[in-house]
Amino acid sequence: MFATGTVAGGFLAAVVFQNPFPVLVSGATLDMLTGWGFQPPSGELLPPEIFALTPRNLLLLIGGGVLVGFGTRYAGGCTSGHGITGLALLQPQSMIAVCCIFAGGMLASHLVVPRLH
Amino acid sequence: MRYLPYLLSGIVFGFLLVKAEAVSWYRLQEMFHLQSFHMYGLILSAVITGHIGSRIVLQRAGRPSVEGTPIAKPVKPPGRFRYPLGGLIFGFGWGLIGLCPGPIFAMVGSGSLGALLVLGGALHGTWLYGALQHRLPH
Repeated sequence: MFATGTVAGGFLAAVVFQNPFPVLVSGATLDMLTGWGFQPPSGELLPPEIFALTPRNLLLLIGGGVLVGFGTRYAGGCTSGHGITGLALLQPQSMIAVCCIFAGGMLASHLVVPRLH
Repeated sequence: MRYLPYLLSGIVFGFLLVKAEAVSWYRLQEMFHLQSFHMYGLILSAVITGHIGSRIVLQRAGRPSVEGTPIAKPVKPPGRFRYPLGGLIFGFGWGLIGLCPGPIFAMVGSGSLGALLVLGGALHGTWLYGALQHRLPH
């Protein structure tokens, strides 16, 4: 039920009440992205370099999804479960999880993403 | 319609995720390179709100939830390896595609086929965990 609502909310926010501005990331981020070979965001929330349905992207999207799904169940939570709820409730397991979640994300973002254009 | 509170909070959740751009891969890369306060501000305000809100809710001991059950602080299962290892694996995937479970659903709602593929992968990932879990350190 909650997931269904989330889908509906996403539709409302992204389609019905669409933001007319592109994602306004920092200048440093824009430089970094273009340096990697990505187009700067111009109205879409997700980069076509990764989300357009090419064979490589299919692997990347599904594979990334597998990591997210597997890791979430293994860790017993995600950025919402551990990162928000767990930290809000001051749970030590969540503090560890969040540190490692960010470490994993940093690894991906620094080592792999620059090569994904 | 006793599930209405869940549906409504889901709608609010998905709506706010998109409006806050927490679903945007661009914002995630910005975050992982510490190039803006945006995502950290979002997480910080959510954690603070959650902390205050849950304190209020938990202090009203005895008042039941919408399902009639008592409200108690959820207990995370014990484990030494599952939290760091699961976190690393999840985080790596998150860094690559810029979507975690909430945003996956929200972006499916926005019409993204790519997000739908990610959802398919994620569901398989949860199945894969189930298949392997007795062999994994926890």
